[in-house]
Amino acid sequence: MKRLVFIHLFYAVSHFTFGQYVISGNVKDEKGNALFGVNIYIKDTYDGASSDLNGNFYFKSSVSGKQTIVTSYIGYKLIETEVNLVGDLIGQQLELQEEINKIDGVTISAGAFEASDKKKSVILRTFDVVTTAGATADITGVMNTLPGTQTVGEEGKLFVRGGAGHEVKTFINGLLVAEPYGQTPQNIPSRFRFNPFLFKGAFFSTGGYSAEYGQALSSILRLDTYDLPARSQTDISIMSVGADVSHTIKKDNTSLYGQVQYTDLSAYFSLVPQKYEWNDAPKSLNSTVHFKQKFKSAGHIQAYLNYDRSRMKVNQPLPGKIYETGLFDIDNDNFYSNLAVQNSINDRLSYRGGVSFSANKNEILMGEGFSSKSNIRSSHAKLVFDHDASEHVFLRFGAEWIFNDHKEIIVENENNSPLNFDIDNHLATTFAEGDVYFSNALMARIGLRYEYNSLIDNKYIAPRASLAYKLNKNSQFSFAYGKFSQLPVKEYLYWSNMLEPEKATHYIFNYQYNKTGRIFRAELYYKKYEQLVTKEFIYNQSPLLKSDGYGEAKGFELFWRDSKTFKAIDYWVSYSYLDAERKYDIFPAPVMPYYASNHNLSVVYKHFIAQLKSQIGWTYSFASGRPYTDPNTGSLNSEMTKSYNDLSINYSYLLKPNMIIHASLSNVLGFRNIYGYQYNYEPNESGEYESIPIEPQAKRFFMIGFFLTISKDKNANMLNNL
Amino acid sequence: MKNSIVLLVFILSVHLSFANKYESAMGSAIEKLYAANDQETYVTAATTFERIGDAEKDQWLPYYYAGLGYIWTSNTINDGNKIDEYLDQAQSLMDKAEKLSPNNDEIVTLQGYIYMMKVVVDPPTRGPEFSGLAMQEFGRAVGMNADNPRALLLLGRMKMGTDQFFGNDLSESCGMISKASQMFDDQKTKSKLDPVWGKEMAEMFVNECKSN
Repeated sequence: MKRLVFIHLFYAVSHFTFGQYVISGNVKDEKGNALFGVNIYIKDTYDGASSDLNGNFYFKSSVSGKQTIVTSYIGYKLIETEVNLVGDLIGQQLELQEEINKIDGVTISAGAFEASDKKKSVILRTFDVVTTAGATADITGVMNTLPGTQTVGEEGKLFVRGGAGHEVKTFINGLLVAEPYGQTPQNIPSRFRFNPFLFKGAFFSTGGYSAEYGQALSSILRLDTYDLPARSQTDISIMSVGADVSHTIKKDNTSLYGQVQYTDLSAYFSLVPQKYEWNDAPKSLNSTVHFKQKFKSAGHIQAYLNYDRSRMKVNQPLPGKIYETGLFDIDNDNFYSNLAVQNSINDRLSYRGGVSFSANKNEILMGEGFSSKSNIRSSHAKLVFDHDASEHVFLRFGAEWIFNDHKEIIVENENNSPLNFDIDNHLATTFAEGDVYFSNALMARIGLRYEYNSLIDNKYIAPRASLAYKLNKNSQFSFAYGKFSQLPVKEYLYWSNMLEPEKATHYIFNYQYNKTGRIFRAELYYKKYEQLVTKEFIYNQSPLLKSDGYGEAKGFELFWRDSKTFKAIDYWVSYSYLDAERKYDIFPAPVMPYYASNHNLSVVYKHFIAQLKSQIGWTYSFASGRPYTDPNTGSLNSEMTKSYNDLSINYSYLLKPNMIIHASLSNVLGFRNIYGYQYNYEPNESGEYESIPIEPQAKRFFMIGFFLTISKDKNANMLNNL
Repeated sequence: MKNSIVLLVFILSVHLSFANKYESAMGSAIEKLYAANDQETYVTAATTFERIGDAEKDQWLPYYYAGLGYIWTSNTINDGNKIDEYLDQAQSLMDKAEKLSPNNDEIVTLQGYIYMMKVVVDPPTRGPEFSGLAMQEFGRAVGMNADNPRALLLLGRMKMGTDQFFGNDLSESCGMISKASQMFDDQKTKSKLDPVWGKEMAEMFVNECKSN
């Protein structure tokens, strides 16, 4: 009892009688700037103060003896100082060191465009996909308004920095998508298969990207379905070209999404005259299922399934032929699925990975007895570990395996026996990469990627390196270098397994200025190609293929986005200059490839008018001429088309908070855009090769749709999803 | 014996004063927070709560008020980066409070408040996502406790903003605001440290409704 009393007394006395020492001083950062709002206190007591605007602090302690003084401030390293409080501590000079911030600090911006709503600096917002005029809710459409891309109107795919379409690879949740675009007849642009509404973030790299990715010489596009939806809801869209119904069920940490979309262009084609004669206008059935379960530990598992079936039959005009047309009959089935997991093992180590599988069945019938039946299967398995190794080092390492099986039977005409192709390739890769933060202003990324292709029995080691330096709060420089390799496309592999992988080396220098609501980027690059496949036709024999092609692409790009200067107006401008030449395919000497254009410009404008509950937008795109070969001249790719011009507009009207009416019209001003020319393979009687221009099958495209969202929250509409 | 009793009483009073130390420190800090009017006074109040929270370790209220202090600090400045820093700070405090007291309607309300303030920095970029999230949190808080005037008030204000944006009739959202404003007068609190703020804000919003 006595002892207890004594202890209590001691406590009481020590708290209320002793102490009362003054602790005062000043807090600065490493550069000597006064810090305001720093919390300085004695551990486990209420005694303390925060620094004022001049960094000064002053408080009285109620304790004495051995104590710990804590200095704490967000973004700075915590300091704990042991003191023996037996008298006043006046004039303490404290210096706080900035904490390395791996998320919002210096980042590699060379070649990288991020679309996200989470991060503070993003080039695109996710709902730009549906609100950008001319993009027609197509993910590639909006990416095509960014610098580094070239307008190739007849393909509708992404073409990056003088590279071919197949040099861009698409990933969903980090897993490969083998066939991201729908199948279309030649000269008719294809669309991205996947509904943009499901993607929360996108990462588009125009070069110099991480060692985590490979088998893409030019670019990667990574889409992420991340967050759980806000609520259960049903979305219904009725469009002039089809209808779409989706339903989301959300319960706690689980969500299930199902969607069916049916598109049929026959009604539209019967109203608006088309250049081509359609026996069957494009029809497609596209359905998606997405399941997501969030773990308590902040990890998640998700499954994504997509089935896309399309059919169309068209007769296209042929050069030099008046009574004959070229038949193109397509029947395509594509199934894509992936299962992705992400979870943490401990505070510093986490893993992510999964498997994807796709199957594509394609049947094409063309005039003169030509037909092709193909079955393409592709599987991808991947596992990556992310390790926060230390305050300065972040490591990423992993392995992946991709299996491709291409089967195709081609009948050239009734006289020849069918050609039967079957190629299998296993790609095994492993990679390791480290992000080293020297300070909050300087970081380096160094990585190495190893690849092995079984089909051509080839091993390859690809080094990657980037450096980023932050000049000040708003601007930074970055530099990226990397070697990239890619297995030649199947059309070459069908004929030879003696080829080397095609190779590219990137050098990118980037400056980025970023302040709330405004972004400016300037980028300079040089890309070198090696071992491109060349093809030589030999009469009555298989084509002769060699890996002796080469090429280069260089240029600079500018980007400016501003949503701040003018109220309710958001606009961006992209300009790309490209100088590309390559010796590839049938070209015996370096030429500018047909998909390249020297100048590309996009201006995107969006204006929300609250009083009218409307958003209006327009996009102007310009591309200088593209090369084509006129056999009458005898030289290759020596002719240039006229430049490309398009002004597209769109209009969205919020009828009610959960009802949107959207309309869009392309090429308002009716420019005649010619992408190139198709020549007859033989000259006419006067020795001239006749041609027809390759151009859009109608000058303009018009779309109107009605979008309805049904949920408990009456204000929810489809734009909330993004 | 007598001595023992005196001692015991003394000990008890010492113990009481320990217990009261938390209450009195919180009480005076709350007063200072409500009286704060600029960046410096708000930060001073917020850091006081942080100290109390770190010393107590198992009380959610100090972190709650510290978070509130930083939210209000962010409202006194214009620099977007700085606003984000204060809101990040508030967020980390809210995470601590949430751990100590899960499913607490006051904490959920403040979470919504953080989202609401995030929109201010860059409305065109953040509006679509964060205003949705804010509405969701306010709605959740009202669902947990229909008598929480702050949750209803902020829900009403967010809805009013959306309705103004879409040019809708404001009667529903203003109705929520005026109902919330009346609820402030008969708030039931379990302890005198519980949150009671919001009446002045409610009056401001009621006037906004009148002028529309």
